[in-house]
Amino acid sequence: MTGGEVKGTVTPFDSVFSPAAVREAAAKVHDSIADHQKDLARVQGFISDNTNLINLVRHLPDELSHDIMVPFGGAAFFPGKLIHTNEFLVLLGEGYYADRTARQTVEILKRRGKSLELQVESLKAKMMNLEAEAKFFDSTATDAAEGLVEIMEDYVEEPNKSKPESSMTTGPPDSNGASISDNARTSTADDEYAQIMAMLDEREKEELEHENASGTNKELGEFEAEAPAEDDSSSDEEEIVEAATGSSTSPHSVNNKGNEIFQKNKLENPLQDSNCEISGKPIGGNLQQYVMEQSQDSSGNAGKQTSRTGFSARRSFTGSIIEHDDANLPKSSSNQSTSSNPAKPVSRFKMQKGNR
Amino acid sequence: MAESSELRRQKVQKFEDFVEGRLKPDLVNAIAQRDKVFEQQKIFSDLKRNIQVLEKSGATSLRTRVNLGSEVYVQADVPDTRRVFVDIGLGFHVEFTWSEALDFISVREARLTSILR
Repeated sequence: MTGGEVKGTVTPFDSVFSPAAVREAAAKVHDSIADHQKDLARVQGFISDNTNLINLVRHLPDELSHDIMVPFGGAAFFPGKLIHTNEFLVLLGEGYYADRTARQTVEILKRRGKSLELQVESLKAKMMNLEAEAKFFDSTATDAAEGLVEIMEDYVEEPNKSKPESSMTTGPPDSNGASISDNARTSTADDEYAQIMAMLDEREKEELEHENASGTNKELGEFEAEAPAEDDSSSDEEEIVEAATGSSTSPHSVNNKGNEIFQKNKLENPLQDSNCEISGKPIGGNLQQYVMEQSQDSSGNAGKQTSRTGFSARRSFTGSIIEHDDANLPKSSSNQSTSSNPAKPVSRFKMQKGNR
Repeated sequence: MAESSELRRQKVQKFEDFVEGRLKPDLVNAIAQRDKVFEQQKIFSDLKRNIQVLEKSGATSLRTRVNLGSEVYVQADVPDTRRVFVDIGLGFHVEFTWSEALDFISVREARLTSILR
């Protein structure tokens, strides 16, 4: 993170979750866990009793009668016998009883056991939830006691700025994490966009410079600004702009990005102007075709072009072709020029090259 | 004035705490013990009544239903009811005849009521 300032808020855990309150909550959860434990133990006792009873009921019919001590009230017994060992009176609930055989009683008891086991399952699930809660409370209490601090920062939406930070807390970071990834994505997009805009801005500036430099050559109407063309293209390498004739059009500076200006004029005049490669006087009414090329040349050519373009507008027979990379292009452009002086472009080339 | 009222409030607070902390739990305990004794008393009075009924009816044998646990009853037959085994405490049961049993029960009841008082 490059941002230097703390923009967000720093809240100690103690303030959000006061340790005392957390411990109280933890104690409460522990208590409820203990209660559930008791219930669980009780129900498990029922289950074991049930199992014992099932065994007993299974084995009772083995004998005709059993000698037992028959209780009489709560504190007295009678010696006696169990008879009718296959007949059982089972309470179904709500004061209803059923006379059943041993096997049928066993079935009833088994069904009772199943419902008890379901109870046990639900109790266990509840206890697990409570235990998780208790663990969370305990950890929060210890964290708060240690002085853990929660840091929240606002997200600043700039491509180069730092991304928001979130502290190592258990709760909040989920939202911050999501926002961080979003920020990363948008920031890269923003970076690209910014770069493109910067490039375009540079081009415009250079154009303006050329324009100012060639401010005297206002008559040059043939120059079409590359600016519009430039704006259109984000990654164009070549643009061919044909400027209408007439001086009405205002001169524009040429594309700077290593553009080379193709200017075609009638090939008569301009060669005398040695400084200007594009020197030449526009022949009124001539259709001057300007072929502007945007090459990949660096703005090093811009300087050259400034001079070229400045002069070219007015006087130059702008048949000059300034081309670094492609020798064919000039020729092609020269072909496009009026065929009146086919030789001159060639010579102009030579001149230009000489001037370089 | 404020100080005296403050003192008074503190004293009241102390008394309240005492009541809550000591007296009330004591009361609860005492009530629990009394209920136990009541229960015992009831058991023995029921036993006495039953033996008297038996004596009056002169029945020597008895048919009852015995709870095996979880409310499952099995028929039981008592051939000779003249002999009763009574729990006299500490895990002992003594074989009594009816009249002996009745005597024992009355002694027991007297003891229980003396505890209550």
